[in-house]
Amino acid sequence: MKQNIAFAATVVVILIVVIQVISPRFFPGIFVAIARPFWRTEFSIRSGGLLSAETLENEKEELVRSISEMQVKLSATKALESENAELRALLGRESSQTFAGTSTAKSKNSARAVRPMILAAVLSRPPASGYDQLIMDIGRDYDISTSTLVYVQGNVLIGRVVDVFKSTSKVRLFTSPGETVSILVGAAHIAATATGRGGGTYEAQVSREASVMEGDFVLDESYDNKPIGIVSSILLDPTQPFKTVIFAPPVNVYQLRWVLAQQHND
Amino acid sequence: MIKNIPLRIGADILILICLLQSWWLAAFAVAIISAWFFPYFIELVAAGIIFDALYGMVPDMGVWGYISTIEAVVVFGLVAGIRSMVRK
Repeated sequence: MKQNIAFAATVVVILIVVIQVISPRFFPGIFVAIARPFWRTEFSIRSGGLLSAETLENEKEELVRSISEMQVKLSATKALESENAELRALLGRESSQTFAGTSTAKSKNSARAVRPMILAAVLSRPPASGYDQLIMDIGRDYDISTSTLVYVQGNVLIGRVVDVFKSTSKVRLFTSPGETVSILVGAAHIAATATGRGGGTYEAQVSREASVMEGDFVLDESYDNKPIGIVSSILLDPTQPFKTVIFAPPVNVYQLRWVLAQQHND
Repeated sequence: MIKNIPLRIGADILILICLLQSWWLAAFAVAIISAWFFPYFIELVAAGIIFDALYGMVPDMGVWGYISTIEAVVVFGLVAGIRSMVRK
């Protein structure tokens, strides 16, 4: 009996290994497809699926008010961008970036330099996931690929898509342990390499004399100088010729419910 | 050893819920405890495979994308070995 069970278990293990070698996305595709309805239901409940009509109505009014305020601020930002482009033109430096709006509609691959951002719901997030990854609810159905970058509000870059399924995709956060990004720190744009520490934070080492302060912005040099975080602390060891800058995205990645995905032209 | 099938199914459902919620610590704790009390609790290895399928198995992760599966297999063997030694 025990021998039969051991033999059966060995056969199953070999079968699983062979399937995984031949088709590495076979098991992830199946289990993600099974889990997706449960994640979507939970997301709907957390988003207010069980709230009363009156509560939802009040929430809607508040959101409409917030949108109106943001549209006013957006107009001011557009005016500043326009002025910026004008000044660059005067100085002989044309800007290569244009404003990218948000869209929840399906979009085909475009020949434009900047592609529209697609809103995605976060179905699963760290720390519980164990791999510092997010799972979002769009995949090949929205032309998501492994060259897609993921942002949060404020155009803050947080990660990249590493695996795509039919209607979900896995996002590796740049704060994952071992992930490295080239950055520019502070007003002086000090170049450095940041390493993910896990827990939604990065660390980078800069010269001890570098003028970096808490609250300085950090830009990602690899992807069009997008903001990637804000300096939260600086660790200085008098015996070392460098100091360690700890920074993190301005939002808590462990509480994300929505993200923005955008195809990146490499 | 417990041979209560409904209890085993209950443990399986609890493990599955923990995996869907990505509560990997809770899932493995329940699976390890269940492996001690239930005979041939292969669901422990299945939990590792499912967790990796949901959150790992990404090509550029290398072997780290299968770490839960590897841990589950090792723990399954350890629990089975210790149990057979203790219950001789």
